[in-house]
Amino acid sequence: MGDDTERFEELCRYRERLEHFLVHFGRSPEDARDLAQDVLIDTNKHIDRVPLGYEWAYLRVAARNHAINQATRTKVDAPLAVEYADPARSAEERLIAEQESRRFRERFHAAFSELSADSQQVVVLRSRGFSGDEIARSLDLHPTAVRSRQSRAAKHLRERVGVPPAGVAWADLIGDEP
Amino acid sequence: MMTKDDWNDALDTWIDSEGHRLGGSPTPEEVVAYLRGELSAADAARVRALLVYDPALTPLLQERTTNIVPFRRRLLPIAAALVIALQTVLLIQSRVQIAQMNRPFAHESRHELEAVPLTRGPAPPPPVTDLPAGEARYLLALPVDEPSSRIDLVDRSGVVWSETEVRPIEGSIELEIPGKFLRPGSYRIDVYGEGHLVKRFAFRVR
Repeated sequence: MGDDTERFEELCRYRERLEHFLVHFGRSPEDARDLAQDVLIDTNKHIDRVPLGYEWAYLRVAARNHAINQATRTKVDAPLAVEYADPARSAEERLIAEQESRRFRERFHAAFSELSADSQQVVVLRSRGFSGDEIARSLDLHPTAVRSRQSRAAKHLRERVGVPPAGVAWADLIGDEP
Repeated sequence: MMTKDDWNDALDTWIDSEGHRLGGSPTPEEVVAYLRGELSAADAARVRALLVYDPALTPLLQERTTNIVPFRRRLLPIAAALVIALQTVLLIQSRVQIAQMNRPFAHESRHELEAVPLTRGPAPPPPVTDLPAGEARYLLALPVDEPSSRIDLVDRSGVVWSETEVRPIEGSIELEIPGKFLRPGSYRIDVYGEGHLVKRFAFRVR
């Protein structure tokens, strides 16, 4: 019993960090405080599943899942996106643009799905601004392997989807550091 | 003409759909098991992909590499060093064995004693062999055809060393006499067959 109390106290040391994480995740400070409390209490119910030293990892995933579940339950409606018709475009032009956009997404989806899991993950992390070394550490790959996967993915996307416009660094061939 | 936003949207759409295909959010238990390296390869690949595709959880990937990967990376050089050390030891052993096999086997002149057969009547004195100090054994080859039941090494005091059940090879018996039984002086060798004396030899050492 004493051990359980000590472990709960140990968990509570992460409260503030948890609240920050939830705010960063899009919660208001009040929501984050309540949600953090729920997560701590829930986690404490099955504290035996949390190995020593892995408290923060466990809490972080639990908090993220709580936040998503809560959002699904309350179903907060996002503000409706209002699309304004471009007066310079005719209805026919807009239709053509939409079709082109849909075909592009389909081509991209098919081409990206053909890449290896490592290549897909390298590109995704690169699109989030990770450096080559950070990607290598995260995916347990050698930096050279990261660059070769990046290059291979970029070449494949060029062949199957097309040349990316400027500014899409994650799809370029060179794989420069962001 | 597709814009930068089109490309970024297409990637985001793919990430969403792939996350759903992989089963959605991982449980905290799965993530902890992944970080501890306790999942099967297939489950580990799935959890890793979900951590990559969820920006809120992606930083956890680096927690795994700080816990597990360095440990594995520390083990690899140690294992490699052990393999190299083992190979070196085996190589040295095999070279020593080859060197030993190539070394002249006890036929070096300084290890070899020379004896002459003793016959009735006057005979020249037996040859003298210098005893190198510190030798453990001395080789003595005697021309004997018949199997012998016993061979005695005899000095003035009597039998100092014996060997039994000695069989000739190609008309010769080879004896290895322990060095501790030999002192400077004259020796006789009595070769016995079926209970009777067959031949006698003599040698001297100094």
